[in-house]
Amino acid sequence: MGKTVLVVDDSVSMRQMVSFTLTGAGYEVVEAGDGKEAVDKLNGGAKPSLVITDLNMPNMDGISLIKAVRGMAAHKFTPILMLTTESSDDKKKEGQGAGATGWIVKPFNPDQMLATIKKVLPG
Amino acid sequence: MAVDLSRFQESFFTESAEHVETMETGLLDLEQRPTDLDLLNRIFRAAHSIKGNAGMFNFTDIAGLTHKMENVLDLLRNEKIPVTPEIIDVLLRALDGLKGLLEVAQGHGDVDAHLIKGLEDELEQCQLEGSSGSPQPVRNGAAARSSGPQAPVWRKITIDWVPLPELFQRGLDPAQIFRELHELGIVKVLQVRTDALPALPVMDPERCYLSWGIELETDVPLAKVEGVFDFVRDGSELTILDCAPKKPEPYKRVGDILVEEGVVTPEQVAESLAKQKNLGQILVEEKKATPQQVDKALQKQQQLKKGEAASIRVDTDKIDKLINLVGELVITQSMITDLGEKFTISQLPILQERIVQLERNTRELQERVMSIRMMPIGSAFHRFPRLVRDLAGKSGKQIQLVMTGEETELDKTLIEAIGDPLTHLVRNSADHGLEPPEERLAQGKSAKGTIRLHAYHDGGNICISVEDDGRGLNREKIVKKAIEKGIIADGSNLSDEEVYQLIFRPGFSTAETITDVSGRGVGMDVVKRNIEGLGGSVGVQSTFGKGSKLTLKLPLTLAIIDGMTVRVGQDNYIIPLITVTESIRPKKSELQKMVGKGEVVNLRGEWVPMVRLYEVFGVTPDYCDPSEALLVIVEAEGRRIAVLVDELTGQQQVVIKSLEENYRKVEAISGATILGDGQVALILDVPGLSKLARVGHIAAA
Repeated sequence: MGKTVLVVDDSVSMRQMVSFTLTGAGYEVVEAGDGKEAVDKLNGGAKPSLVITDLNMPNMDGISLIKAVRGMAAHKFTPILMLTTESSDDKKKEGQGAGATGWIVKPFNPDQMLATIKKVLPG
Repeated sequence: MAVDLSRFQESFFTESAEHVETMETGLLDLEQRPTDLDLLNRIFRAAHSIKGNAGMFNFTDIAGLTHKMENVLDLLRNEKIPVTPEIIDVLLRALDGLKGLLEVAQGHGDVDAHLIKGLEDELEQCQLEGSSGSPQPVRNGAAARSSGPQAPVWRKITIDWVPLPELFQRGLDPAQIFRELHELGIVKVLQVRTDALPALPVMDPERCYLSWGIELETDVPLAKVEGVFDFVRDGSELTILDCAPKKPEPYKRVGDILVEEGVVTPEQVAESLAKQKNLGQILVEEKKATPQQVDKALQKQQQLKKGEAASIRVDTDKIDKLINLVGELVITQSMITDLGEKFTISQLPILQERIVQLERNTRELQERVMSIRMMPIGSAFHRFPRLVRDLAGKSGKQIQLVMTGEETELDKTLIEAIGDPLTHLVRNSADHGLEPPEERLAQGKSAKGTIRLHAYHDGGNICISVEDDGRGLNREKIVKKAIEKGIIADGSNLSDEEVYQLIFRPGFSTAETITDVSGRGVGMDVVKRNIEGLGGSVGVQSTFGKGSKLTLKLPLTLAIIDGMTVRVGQDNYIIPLITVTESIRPKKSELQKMVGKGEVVNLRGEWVPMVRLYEVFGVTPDYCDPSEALLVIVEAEGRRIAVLVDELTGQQQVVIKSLEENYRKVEAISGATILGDGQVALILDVPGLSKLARVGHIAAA
């Protein structure tokens, strides 16, 4: 069985695209529409090897999600990649402060995304 | 791995359209509640999403414009600049530009690049006002990367890395870094320094105390090696040394180079670029094509655009219910099969009961499937607050728009189709219906006029009314104009409703001044034609001096119609009920042949053209003499014709099956359906029939 990735984004097209790319590369994908849903899924027993999250989301944003995940004993060391736009250098800092492992800068192409995932997720 | 992302573009466009809508309604609301931070955040998020996603699909112009909008929105929500009508104006116009760009991205429409540039400049201006005194910092790292890619030379790179102690708490792993370096070249030296390691009792196993010195031999650009440490750089002590030659500058456009060298200014380049013409224009100028041909091609392009696959979003809830229902249907079906295998006549009541159940399942399934195409009409209403705001601004009137019944559901295709007619009616109300404030005050009305949009279900129909409390229709003026134009005879005695219906005649306008929004006399007839084309009708109520109300009445869906079944010889036909006004059996004296008009029948003083259905379709009727058969009087596009049939056989709802898809287009037939007894019946296309009657040319098949 492939590794599971939790993809959190409020944009359906973004989720579709990320999931499609990941599935094509042999990962299993769990999707969530915002931070709250992601936390629910993690509390519900989802054990992803990696979390990819957008930052701007309704209900619970990415930064709060990252903090929440780092607070869970089971996911303390799980790599978390955040999706950011190039203009948000402060966001990168904020994300790292919250415990994000790394980031994928939008816009990215599927190959870039897979390469970044390989950086944090041992093959 | 090359992944084709174009398949997700559809979702991107759907989503962007939603975001644009959020922004538009949001901005309009913001004007009323300038301090609503939640609202601002929502608008910002919408812009942000469009920007991010547009970048993903390589729509750089969309991303660029949205980025600028986002900047301004960011300043607004951080209260660096106040929300003013001017800024909202700029943002709304930028939003229009964005809509244009989205259209272009979908392969149609045309956007003036200068317009976009202008919008971007305006947005930048807004931004500068907010950040004056604190100039935008140069983005970190931008300078370091500008030297371009390094030449791929085999060389040594030395790295010294003291990682941040909280490495593990961020889900990072040094081993991962080394693995990545291995992939870039040959790691010659990997020296671990353990001097910072504390004694075991005080050691925190979740902290990183080690540091490394690395020598890497590789031919990849330095940036790639640096990239390995992207996620760990902050908080680490990192030195990467490399001595590689510089590369020439990357590709540039001629214009950019000329500007850089000071030969021309950016404005001059833009000016020259503006001289580039559309292909159509060039072809016309070179007399390779006529303007008409180009127009026709453009129209064709528009039609292709309409033919594009469309998608709708359906609640999973609706789908779950459908699946449930199909399950029930299967159960009922297997119960009947079971019964059929060992059926005795004593079980007839059970069979009947199960058939009733099957019927119930089927009906419910039909309803639910139809409901998938149903959407709240609100999406057609969304454009109006903006429209009314703009119209009010232009005309100096004060207009309040009240919308109710936005949640009323109707078929998606209908929602799309009524957009334009509705817009027209709202414009008319704003432009002609409502008076300027002074005039209103003089009449004892409040200065602010009201336009009400109301949608509601009425039986199997949906009604949408556009009501204003303005001038109302002037009966005298309409009659006078109609007489002038020769539409009605002087002294005709018409009811109010009949008089009001005159405004739908082509070329009829009583507006004294023509504005750029409406009043050219084109439009109301188009509105009526469009609505009738959808199987609906337009009603007018008005009180002079008090206001008017136009009501569009439409079927809930285009897939099912109420039909009247008629018989000609052995064949059945369906006439859409909405077109039928009456049926008569004429006296011989009422029938006549008129030169150039063919056969006509006298209907209370009016000569109505007659169509013999059996001649149109080449069948053998029971009666050839109209005074023995029946004439169904139908009306379409304001014209009446009499259709000769043998008899009326009933009235029923029919599901339209496309003849065009299954066979080919047939003149005067809009589709086919299957009747209760399994027979196929053709559905008559009344406008098509009336056209046949008009040209007087009826080809016997």
